[in-house]
Amino acid sequence: MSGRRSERRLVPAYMATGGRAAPSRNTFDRLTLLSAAGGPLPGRLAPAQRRLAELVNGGPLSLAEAAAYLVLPVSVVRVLVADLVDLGVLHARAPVPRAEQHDPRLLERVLSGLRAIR
Amino acid sequence: MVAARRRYLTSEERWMTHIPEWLPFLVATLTTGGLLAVGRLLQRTRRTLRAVGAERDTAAAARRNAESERDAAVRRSAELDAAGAELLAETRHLVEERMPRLVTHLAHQHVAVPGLKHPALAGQEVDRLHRAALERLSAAVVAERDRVDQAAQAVMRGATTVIQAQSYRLQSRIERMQHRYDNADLAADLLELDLLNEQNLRRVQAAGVLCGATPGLTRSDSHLGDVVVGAQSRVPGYHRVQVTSQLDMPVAVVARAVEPIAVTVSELLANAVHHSHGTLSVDVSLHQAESGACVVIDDAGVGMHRDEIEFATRMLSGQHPLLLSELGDPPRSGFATIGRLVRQHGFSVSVDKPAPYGGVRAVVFIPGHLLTVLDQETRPMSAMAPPVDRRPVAEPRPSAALDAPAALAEPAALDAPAALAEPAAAGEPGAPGPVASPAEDPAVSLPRRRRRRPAAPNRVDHANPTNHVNHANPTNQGTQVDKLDQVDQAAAPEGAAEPENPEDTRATWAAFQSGTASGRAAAEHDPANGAAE
Repeated sequence: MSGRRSERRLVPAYMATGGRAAPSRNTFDRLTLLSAAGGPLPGRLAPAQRRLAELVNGGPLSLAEAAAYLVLPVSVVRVLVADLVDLGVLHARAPVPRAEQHDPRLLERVLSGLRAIR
Repeated sequence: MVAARRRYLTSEERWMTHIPEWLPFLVATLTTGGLLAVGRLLQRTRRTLRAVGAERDTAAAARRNAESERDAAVRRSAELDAAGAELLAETRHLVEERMPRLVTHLAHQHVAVPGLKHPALAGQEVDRLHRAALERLSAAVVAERDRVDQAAQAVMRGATTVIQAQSYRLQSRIERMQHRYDNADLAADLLELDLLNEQNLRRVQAAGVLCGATPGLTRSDSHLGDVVVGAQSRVPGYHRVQVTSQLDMPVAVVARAVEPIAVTVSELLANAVHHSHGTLSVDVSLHQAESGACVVIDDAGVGMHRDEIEFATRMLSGQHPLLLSELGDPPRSGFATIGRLVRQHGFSVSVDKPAPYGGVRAVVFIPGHLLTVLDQETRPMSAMAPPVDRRPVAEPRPSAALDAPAALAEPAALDAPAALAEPAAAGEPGAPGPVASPAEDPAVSLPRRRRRRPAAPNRVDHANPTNHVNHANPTNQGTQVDKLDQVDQAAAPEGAAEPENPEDTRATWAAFQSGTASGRAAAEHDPANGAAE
């Protein structure tokens, strides 16, 4: 991964969406959680769409993570996600709200406890 | 003489008045002497007359000679005048007709150079000299033309190298911005800029290669699909290009040939897109061949004339010496550019095959020594590459490959054409790859999170599938991260080879959930349990 990053890219990002950067729905951000809708993939998917669908098939991912795996800009992946959601291949869910997340102080205590063990 | 005699007679008459005795003697003597003298005189006169006659004869002969010589000289002079005029006319013909036509002929082969104006001179010294003059002229013109062409090429090389480097810097900057900003409008502009820059880059790079520069960028080994899609991205009408892969293994191009093949394919695609209507698609397919791989580009455009095919074939052979001045205006540089690369790198391109859609079929054949195979896990294809036709045997399991490097298809082995011809070699029965591969294939395996590092403990779990009860077991060896996977895969039924589907998973979990619910409901209604609490 890191070796690839340092190298000049061979395929530019606009090839993923055919130059589109405006998603069909504007409700996704970097933390949107993507999960597979299940069911077989439609036959006519662009390679990048198929790759994203397969990637999410492996388990829920945030949009930013998916972008990192695909080595694509977030803006382009958003377009892909919108396409796939339109096709019913993906479910996109807003990120877990802050209120429902674990208490950071508790996590910090756990972390310091773990460090103390080591 | 007559006068003398007359004078003598006169003196004799004088002496007749007195005639001495000695007179007869004297007379006799004198007469004798006179006669002798006369005789001598006569002789002398005769001799003189003879000499004069002879002289006269000689003079006449000389005159005749002179006259004939003069006539001959006049004739000769006339002849020489004629020859001189002929020579002059021939030389004028040389200067005014033959030399300009020769110069034109050197630029345009169809212009014929006229021969001698006076055929009588053929084979003579003049003819030989004129020929020599024409040859000298021809050699001089050709040498000068080459020199000027080389100079022009050097100037172009210098310019394109600098512009190309700048375009790469711009490309990097645009790419960084694409990753940094995700505002949709800004992103659209950046994608557009990227495309414009790629097209610039293609033009500049091709012009440089045409003038003898290198492609200007060294890449590492790259998947053939990526190379072709990368080439596609450099063409204005890239939307119309459909790339499909018939490869059944991740065939890749070795580093030194990546950019040359990308340039070649992009030039061919630019031709195909340019010469077909804007609604027609251009089909590109990747094929594996006995001793290499092929990229086949089909367009449904207007096709090429016989002359154009001849020109293209001559240029694509790479054997034709290249002059910028021969490319016409506007220059037909695409095939010439490819010809340069073909000569330098040893792949081949043909455009003379019958085209299925009536347009042009261009075939790029990449020989085995320019190909290799890349591991999809360590060097994945870009997301935009056409997916390789995945046969289970063609994809060794990454962890197995790490455990047993021999299972990896070694790039060196690919140098042998036979290795390409046998895609199954990567997954022969002895190798652990194919055994585990059903679990790896996304189409048939459980969903799993992609990871970049080997996860051996998880693989163990895969190999020894358990039911969900085991996941609650604290002795499970999985790491914290692996547990995420295990939750996803908790419903693995018995037997790893069995394909599992979401319906089964859902049914299992539903049963578990309903069982728990009914158990709790029973416990709540059980008064004894309630008392115990």
